Amino acid sequence: MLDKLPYIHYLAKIHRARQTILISPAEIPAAEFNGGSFFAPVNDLGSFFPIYRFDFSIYRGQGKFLKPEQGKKVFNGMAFAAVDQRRDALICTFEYPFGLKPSNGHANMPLWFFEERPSHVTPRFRKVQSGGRGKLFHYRGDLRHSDFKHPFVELELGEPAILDDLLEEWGLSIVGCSPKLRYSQIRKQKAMPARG
Amino acid sequence: MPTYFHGTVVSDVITMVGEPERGGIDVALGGGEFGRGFYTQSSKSNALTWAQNHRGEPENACLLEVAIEDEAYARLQIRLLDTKQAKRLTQRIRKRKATRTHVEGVDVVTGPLNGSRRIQQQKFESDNAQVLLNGSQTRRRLI
Repeated sequence: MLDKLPYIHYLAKIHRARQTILISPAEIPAAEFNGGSFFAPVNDLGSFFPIYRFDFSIYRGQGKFLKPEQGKKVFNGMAFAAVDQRRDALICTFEYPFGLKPSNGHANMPLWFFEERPSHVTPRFRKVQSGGRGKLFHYRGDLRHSDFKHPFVELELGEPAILDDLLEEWGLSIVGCSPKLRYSQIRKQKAMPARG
Repeated sequence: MPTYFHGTVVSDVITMVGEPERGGIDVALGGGEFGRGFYTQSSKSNALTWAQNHRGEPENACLLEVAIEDEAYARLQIRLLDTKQAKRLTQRIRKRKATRTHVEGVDVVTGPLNGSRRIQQQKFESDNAQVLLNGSQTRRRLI
C-alpha cells in the first residue's frame, strides 16, 4: 500500500501557449535556471489525498550527503493531510537516518519533530491560495510518473524560513520526488555547466 | 552583507570559487526567467532542492555561497522587480525565446523567484557585476 501513495513533487511553472503548466527542473536545459516550488497531486475536486511520500536528503556540506543504508540514495519522508489554522495542510515527518534511534526506541517510526522538538521545526505545507482556493495546475512535460495523471496544487510553507532552518540545523533537504529515481523517460542532457 | 546562493554541482562550484582574487563566474553562460546572466537566490534550501532536481542526481548537488561587501554591492546598478513586473518580463523573454540572450542593461536584476512571495532571485548580467563577483570584495565558497 505504501508504494501506491502519491509524492510531493518539486516542479517548475512555465508559461506555454498562454497556459501555465508544470515541468520538472530535470527537463530544463542544464545552463538555464527557473524557479521551482513544491506541488502536491490532488483529487479532481482539488482536495489533498490523506498521505504523501517525499524524498529527502541529509546534506553534510561541501557537496557531501549522508548516505542511507541498503544502497538507497535518499531518505523517506511522509506528509499527512490535516487542518492547520482552518486551512488544509500537509505535515511533514522524516525517517530516522540509520544508526540513529528516536528516544522511544522505535527505529522504524518516522521522525516526529513535534513530539521531541519545538513545533516550529515541523514543516507544514499549505495550498497557495488564488481567489480563495488552490489553483490547479497540470504536468505537461515529457517524463512519466503515476502522479502526473492528477491535477496539482502549489504548496507554500506556513513558516516561510523553516526549510532554511532545517537545512542549517539538521542538514535536512526535501527533494520532493527525485526525478532520477522515480521518473521514467528522463531525457539525456548534454554535460553543460548548471546555473541555478 | 548581501549573501546569496547558487545550487549546482561540485565541479562547477570549484571553478566558480577559483582563487580569492579571481573567481570563475561567467555571467554569459547562464540564462533564466530574467534572461542571460548568473543567477542566485536568497534561499539556501531552495537552491539545494533546485540543484538536486535539476541535474537529476540528488547526491551530486551542492551550494555556492556568494557574500558581497555592502558598499561594493550598493555601487551596482540594480533593477528591482515586483511580482507583476517580474512575471511580465519573464513572459516577454519566453515569447521571444530569449532566456539565454536578453539583458536589461543594468548590473543586477532582482525579483521574485517564479512568482514566489518569499524567495528573491538575483540575476547578475553585466561585466561590472562579473568583476565584482569574481574579485576580492566577494567571498565565494562551497558550502
